[in-house]
Amino acid sequence: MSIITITAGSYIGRQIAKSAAKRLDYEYVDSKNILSLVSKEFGVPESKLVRALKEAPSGIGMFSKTKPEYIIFIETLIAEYLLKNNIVYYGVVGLPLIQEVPHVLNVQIIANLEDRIKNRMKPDNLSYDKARKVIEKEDEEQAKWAAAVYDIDIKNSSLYDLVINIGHMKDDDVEDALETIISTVKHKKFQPMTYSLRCMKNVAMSCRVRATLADIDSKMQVKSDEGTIYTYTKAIKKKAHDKVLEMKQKVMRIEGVKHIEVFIDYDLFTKVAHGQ
Amino acid sequence: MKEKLEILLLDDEAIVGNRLGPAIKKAGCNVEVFEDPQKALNRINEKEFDVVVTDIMMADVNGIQVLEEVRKKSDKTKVIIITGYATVALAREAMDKGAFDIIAKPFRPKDFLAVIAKAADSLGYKREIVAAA
Repeated sequence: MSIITITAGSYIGRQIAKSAAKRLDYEYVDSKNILSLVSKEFGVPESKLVRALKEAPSGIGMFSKTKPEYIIFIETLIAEYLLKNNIVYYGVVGLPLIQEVPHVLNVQIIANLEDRIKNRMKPDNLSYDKARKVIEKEDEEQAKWAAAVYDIDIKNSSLYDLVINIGHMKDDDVEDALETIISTVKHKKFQPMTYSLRCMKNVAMSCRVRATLADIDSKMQVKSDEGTIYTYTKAIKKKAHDKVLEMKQKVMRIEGVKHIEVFIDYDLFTKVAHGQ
Repeated sequence: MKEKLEILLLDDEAIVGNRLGPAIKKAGCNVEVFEDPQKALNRINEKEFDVVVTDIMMADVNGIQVLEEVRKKSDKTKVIIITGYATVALAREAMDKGAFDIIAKPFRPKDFLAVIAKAADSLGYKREIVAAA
C-alpha cells in the first residue's frame, strides 16, 4: 500500500521502475504515459505536453505563455493517480510536492557514465560519441528543467530516501537495486497511515485547485487541508472583488472543497495556511 | 477476549480528553483519560491497555517516549499518535518505533473513531465501534 518514486538520469532507471512495479504487483506510471489522459481532460495537444516536459525554460520571461499551465495539468493527474497507492512512479514532475507525503519512498538511481553510454549505443545503433552526447544532453535538460520549474538540484541526494548506485549496470547490480527498493518500501515507515493519506489527498486537491485557477495565475500558491483551501495570488489587485468571487466560484465547484480563502497578502497567507 | 476495548487517552490539553473521552465511551469502549504524561506512564505500567492514544508535544514527556515505553511493556497494545505538529520525519519516526497510526489535529471524532475501530479490528475484536450520532 505504498508509493515509490524513482528518478534517474540513466537509461536504465525506467526499466528498474517497471521491474519493481511488476515484482511488487504495483501499477507503473510515468509522466509520459499519463499525457494522453492530461491531453483529454485539459484539451491540450499531447505534442505540447511532451515539449513542456522536455524543454527547460531559458529564464524569466522565456517561458511560453501557457507552458506553466501544462506542467500544473500533468502534476494534477499524477497526484490524483497516486491517491490509488501501490504505484511506482518514474519521473521528476511533481516530485517536490509528493515529498510532503510520509508513505512515499523517493529513490534516485545513479550509474557509471561509461556503462550508460554503452547501454545507450545498442538500441539505436549509435556511435560512442553520439551516445555520450545524447546522454549528456538528456541529463542537462532534466537538471535545467527541475531547477527552472521547482528550483531543485535533482542530483542532490537529500531529496531522496534512497540513492542507489547501480555501478556498471550488470544484471547483478540491477537485481541488487530491485531488492533494495523492495525491502525498503516494506518498512513500516513507508506504510500509509491516516496522516499520510490525508497529506496525499491534500497534495492532490492543491494541484486540482491550481489547475482550475491556472488561467488566472499559473504561479498561484495553494495549500489545502481536508477541503479547506488557502490560495495566494499576485495576479489580482486589492478590491478586485469580482476576480476573487470568480476564483471562489470556480474552486467551490471542485468535489470535496468546503471552503476557500483567497489571500493577496503573502505574510497573512503564510500565517493562516501554514500556521507560521 | 474482553467485552470492551480498554483505551488510555493522553493529551495535556484538557479539551481533547473532554471531547474524545465521552465519544470513545459512547462508541462502546472503556477509556481512562490523562493530562499528565507521568501519571499516564504509571498507569501503563500497572495495566495492559488495548489501545494507547497519545499526543506528541507535551511538557516533560513527549509522545514518542510514551510510545517507546508502551512498546517495552507490550507488543500487543496499539499506539495511536495524535498531533498538531505532524511532519514527514515525525510520522516516519513514530511508525518506525511501532506506532499503529498517526492522526493530524484537528480531526473529527468520527475520523478518530474510525482509527480506533481499525485498531480494534487488528486486535480481533468483533464488536463494532461506531461514532454515536
